[in-house]
Amino acid sequence: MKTPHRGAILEWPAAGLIAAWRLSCHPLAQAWRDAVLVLVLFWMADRSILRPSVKYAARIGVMAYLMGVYLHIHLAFTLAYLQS
Amino acid sequence: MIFGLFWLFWGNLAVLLAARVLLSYVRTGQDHLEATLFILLRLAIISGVILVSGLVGTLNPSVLGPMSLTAVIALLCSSKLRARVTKRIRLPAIGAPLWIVAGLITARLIGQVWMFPPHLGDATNYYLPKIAEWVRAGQFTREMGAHPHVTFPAGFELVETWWVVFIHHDVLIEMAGVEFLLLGVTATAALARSLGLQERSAFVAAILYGLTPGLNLAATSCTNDLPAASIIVTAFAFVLGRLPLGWTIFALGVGIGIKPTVGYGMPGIVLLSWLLRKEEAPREYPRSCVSIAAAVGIVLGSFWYIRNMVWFGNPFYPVCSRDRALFPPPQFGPRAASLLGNVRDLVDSRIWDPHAYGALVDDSAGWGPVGIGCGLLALLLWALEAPPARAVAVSFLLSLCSILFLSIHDPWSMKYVFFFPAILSVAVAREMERSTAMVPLVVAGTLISFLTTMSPYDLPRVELARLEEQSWRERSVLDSHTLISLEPSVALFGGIQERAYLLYGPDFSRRVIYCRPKNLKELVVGMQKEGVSLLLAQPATEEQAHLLEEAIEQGELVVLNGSFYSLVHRATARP
Repeated sequence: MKTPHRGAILEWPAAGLIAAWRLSCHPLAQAWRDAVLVLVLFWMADRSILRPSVKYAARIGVMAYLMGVYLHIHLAFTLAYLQS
Repeated sequence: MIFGLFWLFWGNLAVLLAARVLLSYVRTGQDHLEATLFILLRLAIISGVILVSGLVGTLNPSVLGPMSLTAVIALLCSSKLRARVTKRIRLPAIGAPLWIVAGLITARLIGQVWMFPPHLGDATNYYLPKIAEWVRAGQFTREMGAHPHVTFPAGFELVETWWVVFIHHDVLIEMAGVEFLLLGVTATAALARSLGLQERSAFVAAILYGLTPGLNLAATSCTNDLPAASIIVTAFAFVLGRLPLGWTIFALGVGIGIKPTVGYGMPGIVLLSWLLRKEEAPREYPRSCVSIAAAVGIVLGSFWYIRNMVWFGNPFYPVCSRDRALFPPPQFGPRAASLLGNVRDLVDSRIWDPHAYGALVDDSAGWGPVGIGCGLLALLLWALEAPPARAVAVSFLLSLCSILFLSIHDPWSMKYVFFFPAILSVAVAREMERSTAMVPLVVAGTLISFLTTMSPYDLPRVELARLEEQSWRERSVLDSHTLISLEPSVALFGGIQERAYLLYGPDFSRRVIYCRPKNLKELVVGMQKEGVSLLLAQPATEEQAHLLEEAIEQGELVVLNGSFYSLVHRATARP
């Protein structure tokens, strides 16, 4: 059986804190809090995934998600500005 | 103009050769650091030349041009120096595609330099009017403009002056920003190499940093936030490359002479030095070179503060002075509310850039899709895995926080931390080195950054079309149909937000007289004495508003159009 990695004991309380933060957040800040939640959950998953191909696919998936959120927000504001 | 271009060529050649000779004495033995050091040496030489010329009154092409030609001949005639100059330069082996991308970005930057005239409020209100006064007078002048911020450190303006003084025209003024962008990207590559990335990956990191939207647009905006960011990245690169402390002092000195925010970022640089204190330096360096570099940095960094101390009795004038109304009021010293406000805005909204791109990054960070989408995660994972990356990431984060602690919380505060995307870019390049599957995502993000930074939002399409119609000699965002185009001189009263630099014209041919009268008589007599009849007035205080009303009521001024007035009792023209 694989030995649990160092720091594992900190992960679940951290995820709990993030989830609480997410629940209490201001609506305008949701995108950022969502992204932090995804980052933390991803980090936890990343440490459990042993196959490099799966690990990198997951990383790229999260990066694509973050870039998508960024582009959605930035381009929406930019288009609104250009149309005004 | 032809002569101007001729002297500009020799001036640049002389500085390039001089920087090359000086670099050969330093001998870092690390190619990636040498490129950064070479550009920094060139910028320091330019700053020194303009500083001395401005002080002794030789700020004109007829002196600087022949001096440059003489310097080139002297450097090439001495066999010892010639050997140092002609030493072969090794270009990084990165493959044709990356060179093509770099070429495309460079070509676009040159096009932007050619097309964009100075247009931003900050630049035209208080950075550039002093350059116009210096170039017109051929020396430094006490008159630097109407805005209270004109006395801020002007290290970047020295390099901008270099690009206008030979040709007596501002068409190439943004080249100063491009030079500092080049410094920033080479420093990013040096950081990457010191952190163990391959040459090709380091080049990718440099390209990603160079295409960071806020930073890229700042290069052609005539503002000093990009130079300040580039110097901070350079200082980090020198510390990480284990260069002697003197070279870091040199870089920071040049930077503090540009903008105090460079000093605000020092805690992170000091922390990195402390974290790396047990690491061996790669080689011994000549002590004399290091000492001279540190001394030059201290001179370049302290000059403007000493000048303010001598002229106004306060090195930070007008900050902490009660004799001038400040707009906007700068912050002096740390403020917890600023840190909290800046960090909250950054993490809550600005990080997503919820605004069209511009050099001042209004209500956004300007870090771009690659920095946010890929960089944050890549840096987090890298920092968790590798101690050296963790040390650099923590140091960058400390510099970010210390700058936000010491900078006022306003919609533009993120322009002070343009250095941070450098470490995000390095992290992305490192992740790409490990997994080529990331390449399409990064290429897509980079392409979006490239396309969305063709022009800043504050130069809209209509304005660009108007600029295209103008010839390069007359290109200016000042409306050419205003009354001013017919006048050889204009008086400015109040008008701290009237973009005074534009009044000089792109070839600095128009005289601008700054009126600071205490009463109506002083205003009228002052204008008559200067032989100027056109007044641009935009009162900045209640007293100025009363004085202007009084002048109109008493028939001394007549309203022409908008903020323009004409003096009724004209004096004979100034000889």
